[in-house]
Amino acid sequence: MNERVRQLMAQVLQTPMESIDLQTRQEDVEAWDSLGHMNLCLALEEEFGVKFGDHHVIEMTDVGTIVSTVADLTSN
Amino acid sequence: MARFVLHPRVSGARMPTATLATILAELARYEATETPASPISVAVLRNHTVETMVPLLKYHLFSNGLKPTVDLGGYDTIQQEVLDPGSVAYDPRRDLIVVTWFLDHLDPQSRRRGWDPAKAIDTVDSTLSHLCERSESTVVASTFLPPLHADNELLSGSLDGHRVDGVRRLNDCLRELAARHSDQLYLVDIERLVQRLGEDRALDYRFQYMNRAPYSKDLLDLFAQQVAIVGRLSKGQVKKVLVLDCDNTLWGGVIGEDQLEGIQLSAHDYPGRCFYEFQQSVLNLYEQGVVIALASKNNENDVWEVLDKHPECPLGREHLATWRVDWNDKASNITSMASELNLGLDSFVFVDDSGIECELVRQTVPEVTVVQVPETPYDLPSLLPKSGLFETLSVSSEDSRRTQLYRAERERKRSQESFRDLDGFLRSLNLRAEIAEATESEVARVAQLCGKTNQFNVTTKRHTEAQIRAFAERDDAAVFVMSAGDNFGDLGLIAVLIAEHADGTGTVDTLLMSCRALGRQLERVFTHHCLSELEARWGVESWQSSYERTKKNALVENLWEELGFQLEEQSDEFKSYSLATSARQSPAIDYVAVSTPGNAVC
Repeated sequence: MNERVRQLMAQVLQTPMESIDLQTRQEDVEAWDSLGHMNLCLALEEEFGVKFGDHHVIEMTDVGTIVSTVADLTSN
Repeated sequence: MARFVLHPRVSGARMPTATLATILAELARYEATETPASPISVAVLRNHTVETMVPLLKYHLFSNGLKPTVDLGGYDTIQQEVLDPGSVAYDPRRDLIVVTWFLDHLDPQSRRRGWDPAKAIDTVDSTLSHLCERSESTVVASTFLPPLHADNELLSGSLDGHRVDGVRRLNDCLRELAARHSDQLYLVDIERLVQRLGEDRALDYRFQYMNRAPYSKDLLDLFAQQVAIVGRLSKGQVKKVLVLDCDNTLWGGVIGEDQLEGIQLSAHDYPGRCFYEFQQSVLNLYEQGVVIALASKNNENDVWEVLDKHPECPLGREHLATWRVDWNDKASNITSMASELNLGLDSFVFVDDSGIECELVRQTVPEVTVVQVPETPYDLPSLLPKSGLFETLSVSSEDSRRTQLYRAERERKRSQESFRDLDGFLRSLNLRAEIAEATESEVARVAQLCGKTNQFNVTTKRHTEAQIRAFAERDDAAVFVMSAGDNFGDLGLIAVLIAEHADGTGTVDTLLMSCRALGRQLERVFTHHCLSELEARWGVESWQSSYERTKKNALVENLWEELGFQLEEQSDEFKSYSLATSARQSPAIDYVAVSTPGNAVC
């Protein structure tokens, strides 16, 4: 799961995968602005077959939260 | 045995669109590969968030054989950028400008009861009119989406002045604009795309309210596909030939094994009906002017048995321009059909059910577009319409006759083989040519020829209808056309010459001829008549002409030399010529009967 999320983030945000870990926050990645965030959410939804609510979209500002949110949604 | 039985893998209502991650990966692959594709430069002007569309649009442009750059205008600055000559819209290299308005942002009052669309109509009308006048680029505008959830929903279809009615008037305004600028402005019908996906997949209210991005990635994907098709067509890259496999493509089953009674082809039964309707979609393309051909590994007589004798086979032998029904590999067969028809391989589309045949053609002749027959027969009738491969930007009456013309060409070639020398053959054809200045009703055909003639085209200037009309109206310029025919049939309007003059010097701006008229010396006759006529009219003392090299026009590299012109300057890309009118000689060709409007056959 971690790997898939990091790989997807690297691809959508055009940034090396090594620069992304669970602690990486939105302000650490240049392309992770509000529109990058939207594309990231769309790509995550497609990749994991989930649908984020507005609160998920707002709260997922670091990689750790993204991974736990996706884990929560896929286990239900 | 027949392959099409009720398929066990039938499932899923979701349309198979690629995910954003897949498209980004494919795009990165395209961008890393050096291809000889021709470049296309696109600007997107928008009043809503469409950033997600940029990689999708690039991906679809690459898939259409182009090498794209895409620039995005500022958020909600459509009018400003259209008015500013220095904006992203007016980059001199711009090929295509996309304009997309979301009504809520254009006029927030549109959400309210009793909304008056007059202001929005005025903005749209003046903005697009200005853009079309100022720019020579092709413009693609999206239509407006009617409100999906209106007050008085039940009455929305019948109430005058309802918001739904307002959007209809706004879209009518777009349609009028598109009709007025018929060779420049094209519309993408967003409402239809939303219908195809369904509201839940097409619109994303989350990101509309968070980021002002109302269109979902799937809707932007369909939108981008349509824009990319317009982009390809505006670059003159038209698919002209449809090459079809037979077994499990035109009918279900294998004719050599299942026999005439055993194959699946029927107006009433499943799955035969799918093949029947697929053939009807092929006939629609035939009537639109697409050249139809067969490439099948079969005994030729078995295939004719179906086409001639099957009671429910819509396609007949008369619809085919050529065929290769034998046991040779299909890549070589397609290549040989391309040379027979004098058409580039990149204008070919090949349809086959066999993964191996598809892969062979893909690898051996990558210029050919390959479409594999879906395993679910019920997806076959919509296969070609959905592919967008045979979309056109205009329809001329010439189109619908094209297969007949190529058929006649085929018979000509056959008869050519029975003549020992070319002169004798040409003499036997009873060639006739009608040369005159283009009339208003011929302008569309002239623009079409300018847009898509690649091989016999000395300058490859892609003049639009408006530009051709402008040449024709000037006293110091002229647009000549030639229609030709022979014993085997009419070739139609096949050549264009555009010339202008100043201070005693005439300049040939454009000389092109459709490749179906090659090999008859018609170009010599045509050029001679046009230049003689203009010499008498304008009193020019010398002519200037040029050859501008493209990837495809090596055919006419030495045309001007052959017509007696003197080479003046030469570079890798360009050659310029001149010729004193006194030194110009008439071609010694007596086997073409030429008629002009002034005189009868001479």
